[in-house]
Amino acid sequence: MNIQGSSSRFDFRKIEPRKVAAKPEPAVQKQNEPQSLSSLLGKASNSKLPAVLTGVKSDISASREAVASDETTEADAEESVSESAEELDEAGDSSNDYEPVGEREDPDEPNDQTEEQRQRKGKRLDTLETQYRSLFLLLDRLVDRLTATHDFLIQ
Amino acid sequence: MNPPIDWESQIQQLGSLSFEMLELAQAGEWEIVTEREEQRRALLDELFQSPPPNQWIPLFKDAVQATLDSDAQVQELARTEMDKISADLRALRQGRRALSAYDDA
Repeated sequence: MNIQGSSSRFDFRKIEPRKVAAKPEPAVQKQNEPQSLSSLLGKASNSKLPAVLTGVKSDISASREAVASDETTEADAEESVSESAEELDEAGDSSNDYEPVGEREDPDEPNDQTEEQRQRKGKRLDTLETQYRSLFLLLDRLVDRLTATHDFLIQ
Repeated sequence: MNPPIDWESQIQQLGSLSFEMLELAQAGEWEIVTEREEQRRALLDELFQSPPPNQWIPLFKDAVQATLDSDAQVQELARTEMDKISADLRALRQGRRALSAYDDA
């Protein structure tokens, strides 16, 4: 204990608070510790849910999240972790958070990206379907020709 | 006037083309199978323009039988591949419908 003196009247104001201030690490660890969903939902409007708490996501939203995480550098991520010791929900820090649907700051831009991804996926599927159909027709013609050859040879 | 047919060489070519077609089909090289089939078709047309000399009849019969046997396998492989493609196309269409439903939601 940090109690000074031994007088009968104990003065709590003289307790040194340095043990509490000497450990900044718990603040960093706090971000990595599992947090309850209700506590996370109770944060400011720009707070974002961790991906592990959001359940199943679609391919499109998963791709969008992957693109967003690619844009964040490792240095930025480390910096944001250290800074989040003082301020967990600093605006613009999206390196470790997940953006819940319907709570975007700018809803137009992600929608455009989603539309582009949808169009790209549609084109890929079109190309794939065309290739499948071409190969199917090729095989169909080949089978016909082989049948004709067979008929010709067994005459 | 057409040059005389080199029966031995042509019959051997018939057998080798048919065998190559089977190997290519087993490797899934269907476009090349089709090319070889066209070449073989031209060769067969040439071979059947006139009856073969007696000395080449046994070899010719063997080559024709080998062609029929390998063609049967090629056709089976082709039909199997067509079934797979049909299944893939169905899955593709189902995937597109699911994607469309997701987009609409």
